[in-house]
Amino acid sequence: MSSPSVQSDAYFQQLRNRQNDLYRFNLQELKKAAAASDLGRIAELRAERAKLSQNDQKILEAEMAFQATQLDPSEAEKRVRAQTRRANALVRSIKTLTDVLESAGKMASILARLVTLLS
Amino acid sequence: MRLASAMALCGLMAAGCTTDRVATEFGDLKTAFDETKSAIEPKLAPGLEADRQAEISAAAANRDIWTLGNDCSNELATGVFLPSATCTLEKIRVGDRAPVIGEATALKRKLTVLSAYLGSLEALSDATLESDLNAAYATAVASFSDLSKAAELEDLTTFLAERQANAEKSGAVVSAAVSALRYKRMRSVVLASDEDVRQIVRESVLHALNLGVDPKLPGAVADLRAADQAVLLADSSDTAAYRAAMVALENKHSAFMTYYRGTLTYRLTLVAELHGKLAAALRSHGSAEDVVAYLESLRALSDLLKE
Repeated sequence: MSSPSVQSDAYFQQLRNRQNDLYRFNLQELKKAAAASDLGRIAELRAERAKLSQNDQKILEAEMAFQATQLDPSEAEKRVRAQTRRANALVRSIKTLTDVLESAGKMASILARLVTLLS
Repeated sequence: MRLASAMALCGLMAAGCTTDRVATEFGDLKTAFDETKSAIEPKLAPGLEADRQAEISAAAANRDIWTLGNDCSNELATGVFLPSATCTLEKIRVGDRAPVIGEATALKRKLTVLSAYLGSLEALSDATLESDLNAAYATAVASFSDLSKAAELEDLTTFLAERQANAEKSGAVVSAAVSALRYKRMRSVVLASDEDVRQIVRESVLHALNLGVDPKLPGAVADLRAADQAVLLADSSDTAAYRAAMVALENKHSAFMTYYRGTLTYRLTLVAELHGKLAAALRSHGSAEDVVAYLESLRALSDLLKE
């Protein structure tokens, strides 16, 4: 497999889609050829499938090598961090509301006792 | 089954669908993920140490400024000239040198992002948020009521008595409103993050492979594929040889799947799978069956991750 000019997540996504399509087609055809007992066709398809499997291994090695160069925070990490902040923001507002009510309640209790003392 | 009937009810009253019923499951998933993360971290220790040393070398070569921070001069609480508890190291990079990041550091950072994310979902699915709010509201009304009686503020007393009489109803309204808000936020966060969570797990798995978190895994995968190729390339007219290749493939496959399910790398992939199922359940506003299926797989996953 020749090395690509630009490796990226999009590139590996393309490879993945292509492999999945080829595997699907190959298995479909194998089943047809098996049903028809077409030995010649079966031999062709088995050989093609072996190549697909070899490519799986090569792609894995390329993915691993590529990822070893991608060490800064990825865009996905940044976006998930932002979503985490959104989730926490709502939890915080509800808790703040609760705190405000609790403080107001405590203040009212203290005032009530004061008023009782003074009257 | 308790879960099934609870979720069936949720499915019927779609408007009132809440995160309550997934709260425990989120807790379990977060714990299980954290346990997997803790199991991975010791394996990262050598890598992290190497990264640390690499950063120090780069700092030295760049003539960065290192010194004890200002809080190390005298203790904040007492003024005695001992370092404070907040005494840290100042590490000032000269120029625009980027910090050295190694693969172990990158993986640790990604796992931390996932952990924080799952934690936020767990917090968001916590129904005590509204029960605490209701309790605080009820206490506030009761306290103000005491105050208004003590101060003989008749109008206020009447007003508060009405509030107390309605407390249960308004409590229910507040609960439903807060529940709905939590559910909406969770749904929005999860749907927005599904692709990104998969991507982060993908990146993490590749780093884990590079770092040898499961040292036998790359070899085992290569062997499995080699066995597949051997069968596919074997001459099927040579029955004895073909048979041998078939046996080898079946044995390799069975051994691999058993081994694979026990690896930490596999457990990471399950997090992505599970998040995908959660997103699917939330996307379809949780048809009762979908959500039940999802909760069952969540439970199975957290049991698996804890093993």
